[in-house]
Amino acid sequence: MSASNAKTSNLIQVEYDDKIVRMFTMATIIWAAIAFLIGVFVAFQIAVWPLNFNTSWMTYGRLRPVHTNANIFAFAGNAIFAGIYHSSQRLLKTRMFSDFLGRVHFWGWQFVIVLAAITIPLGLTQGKEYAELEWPIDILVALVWVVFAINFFGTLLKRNEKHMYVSIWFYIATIITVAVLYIINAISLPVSFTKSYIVYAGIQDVLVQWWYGHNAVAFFLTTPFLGLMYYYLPKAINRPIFSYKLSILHFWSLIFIYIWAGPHHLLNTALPAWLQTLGVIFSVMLWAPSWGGTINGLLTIRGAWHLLRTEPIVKFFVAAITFYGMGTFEGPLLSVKSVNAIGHYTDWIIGHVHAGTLGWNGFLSFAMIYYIIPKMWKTELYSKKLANIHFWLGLLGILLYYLSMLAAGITQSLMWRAMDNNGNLVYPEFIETVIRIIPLFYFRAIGGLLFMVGFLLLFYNIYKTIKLSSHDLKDETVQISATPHTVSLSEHGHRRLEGMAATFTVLALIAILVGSVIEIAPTLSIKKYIKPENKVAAFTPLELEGRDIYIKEGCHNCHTQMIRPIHSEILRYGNASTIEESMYDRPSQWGSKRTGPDLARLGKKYPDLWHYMHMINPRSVIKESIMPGYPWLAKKKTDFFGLRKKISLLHKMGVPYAEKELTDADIIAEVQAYEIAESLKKQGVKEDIADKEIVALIAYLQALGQKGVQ
Amino acid sequence: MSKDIHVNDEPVVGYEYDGITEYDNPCPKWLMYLFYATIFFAVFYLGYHFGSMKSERLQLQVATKTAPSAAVTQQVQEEPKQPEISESKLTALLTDQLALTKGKEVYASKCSSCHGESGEGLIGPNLVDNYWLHGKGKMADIANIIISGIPDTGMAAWSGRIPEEDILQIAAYIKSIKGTRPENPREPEGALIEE
Repeated sequence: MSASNAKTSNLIQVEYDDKIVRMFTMATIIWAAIAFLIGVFVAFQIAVWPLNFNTSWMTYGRLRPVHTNANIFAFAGNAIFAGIYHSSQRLLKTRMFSDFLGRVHFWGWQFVIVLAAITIPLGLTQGKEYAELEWPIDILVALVWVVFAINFFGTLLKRNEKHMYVSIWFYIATIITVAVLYIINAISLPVSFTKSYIVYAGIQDVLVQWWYGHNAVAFFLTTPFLGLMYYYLPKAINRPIFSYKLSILHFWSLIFIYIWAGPHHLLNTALPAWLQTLGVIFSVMLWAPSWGGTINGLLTIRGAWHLLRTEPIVKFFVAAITFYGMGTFEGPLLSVKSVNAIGHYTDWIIGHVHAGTLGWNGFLSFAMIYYIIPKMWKTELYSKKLANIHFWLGLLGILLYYLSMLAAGITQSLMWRAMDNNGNLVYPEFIETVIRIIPLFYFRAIGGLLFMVGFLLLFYNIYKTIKLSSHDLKDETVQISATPHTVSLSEHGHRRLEGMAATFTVLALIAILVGSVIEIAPTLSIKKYIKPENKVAAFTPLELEGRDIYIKEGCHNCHTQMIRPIHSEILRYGNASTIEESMYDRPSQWGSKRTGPDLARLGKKYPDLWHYMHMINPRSVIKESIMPGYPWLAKKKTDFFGLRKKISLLHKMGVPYAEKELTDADIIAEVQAYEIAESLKKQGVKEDIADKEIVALIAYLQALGQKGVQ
Repeated sequence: MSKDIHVNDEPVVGYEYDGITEYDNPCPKWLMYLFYATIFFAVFYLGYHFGSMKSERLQLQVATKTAPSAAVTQQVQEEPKQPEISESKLTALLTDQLALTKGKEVYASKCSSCHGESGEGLIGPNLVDNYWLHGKGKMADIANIIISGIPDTGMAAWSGRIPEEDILQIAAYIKSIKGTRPENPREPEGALIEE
């Protein structure tokens, strides 16, 4: 690195590492294409069930996590890295700390993505949303992140610009918080190289999971993108940032408040009430700090609005920031308990998320790509006109997506809770509420398709731009003053802090740890929330194996196991779920979306034969069902032997298994499977299924809701 | 433009980052008021919550201990118009072509997935033979089974999910198809009951 700093009289020359920026930018574009394609595909799968093709790795339950992971970690991740590597060097007036670590970071991250794309469709999953990757890949992610952190903080230490600009603040918060979130949420004990159990159970798990899940939105999809906005927006329109004071206020309030808001994903559930309350109030208080970013962005454009007509990149910025503002208003709104009771588990949430991801993350990334590519390839953008069409197609796509999901969510929610004068459900069959919104599923898929077609125009536009450029790409060099700035003593308050990277980082860490500790620590002693008289039996070995199959097939992507204490819900599904009932669940299956009905009390509702027929072909028992068929479950053998290790591991983690179950887990499971298979045989099932996965799954489904005190 | 929002647009002097400068404008007042308002709401909500925690927990217990929840059950019980299930009333339905058609319709949508399109039995027992697992095959028996279900066999209690009137029509329809010989009948189960 010092080799790049050739000293002249009192100027030094700094050469930026631009190659790493080009690498991350290209990776962003390529992964985005794949991530969007899978998104459009899974959207059509919900509208048109035959698109699941009766094939395990093609079903929605396995592909939906591929879609979310690809968009968050592959598309948004690479976009963040491209932007951070590009802007940090320029804001700190120095080359990255280490070219080598940059390459390790790049290839390590791409390797993680490839591993994810292979393992998730194979059903190797921890069953936690946005944290599906199994433990060896989790370790790899953590290592790569540490490499990134060393490279970033190393750069920060050798900076030639004493003061850190607001973008850098957001990058710091991102890097430390994502590390804390990812590692704590992923702590699990391995059963084998491809299977592990998370250490948290029941409410501990949901709380940690949604502390992570919510803050993945906060610190992976919000703070880094705000940092990018603060650099690329003023650069693109050549205007000063509207308010430095607002930057300070909204940065600190945002990171301090955001971390508390996780429990708003668990409102009206069995989560202890005080946690729900904290989730509500911090979500509401998040409104103004979030809008601080919106306001600072939009008001920066004052005096440059005429560029909207001529510069497509400004259109992307304005739309992105507007979607951010809309999303961060809708978020607090949905976090009010009574609104949440309507929106939770419905497609409204899916619409809300996509307005944020497509509108804010997508459009901001596109603006950044349209800015970076000509700069890095030292040429002009091939076609502004194409970029313009991209914008309008994308915008139309997002609006179609959002509005159809909003309508679908509210329609279905009102149907779920509709009661007649006798107190009976008007739509007692769940399927009735699904059929009503299928047309909207088509609109959503078309919206996604438009968004993707727009992106393909970007793809082509960038391809042509790069082709036009000369192939001799030198790293950019700048001359800077050799006398380093020092923090002058006359500076105080935040100004002074901006010159103190280590102190700043520690303060940011403290800001995000306060809420984390206050919310999570008390539930670590789960006993406090569970009355000793409410004993819950553990799943039998066969049921446990069935549960692992349930998780493997991604059933939780469409089915919840959490009945809220709401009249219509109790009528439809049975008594409200209690904390005890999931106390041994690793991970918990409370879920977040009901594309199909809640399953918390499914046990004994239907005969085994019904489940058998339903799993092979859902249409044989529910004519209009949109669920995929799972015929391979009747062919794949159950791994009975592996149960010994699983049961003994869970026993160590506190699940009350008897001595006999520890030594004979596989035999006990085989006996139970034999009994179920025999009774099915008597009722006409011809295949020999005693040792097949479908029997384990049926055992689990029949045990749902049967283990607690009744 | 700047005049519109009453800011001076004084630049922050002495600081510049890769060509980016900042204005020293204050935070917009309305945004600050919004922030204070949400903090006020938070304090109020927190106080309200901790002040009434006890009653909330009680409510939850009521909701979890009784299903359907007490209020709903009460409402249902207060409804005086439970249709009376008398065999004579059901017999009248047997000759009511409209009722039988309606019964067939509801049967097709709710019952056929388990008992077969034509009552031949599939997941649930055969309904057209002379053997009955529960009750004596009278229409009132059939209607009662539909209403209350048979716990542990998977036969659901349809009360509340199918209107009572429709349940009677289904019972009549099932009676009307007795003795037919659909394809692939499920083996007879239960006791032979001759009429």
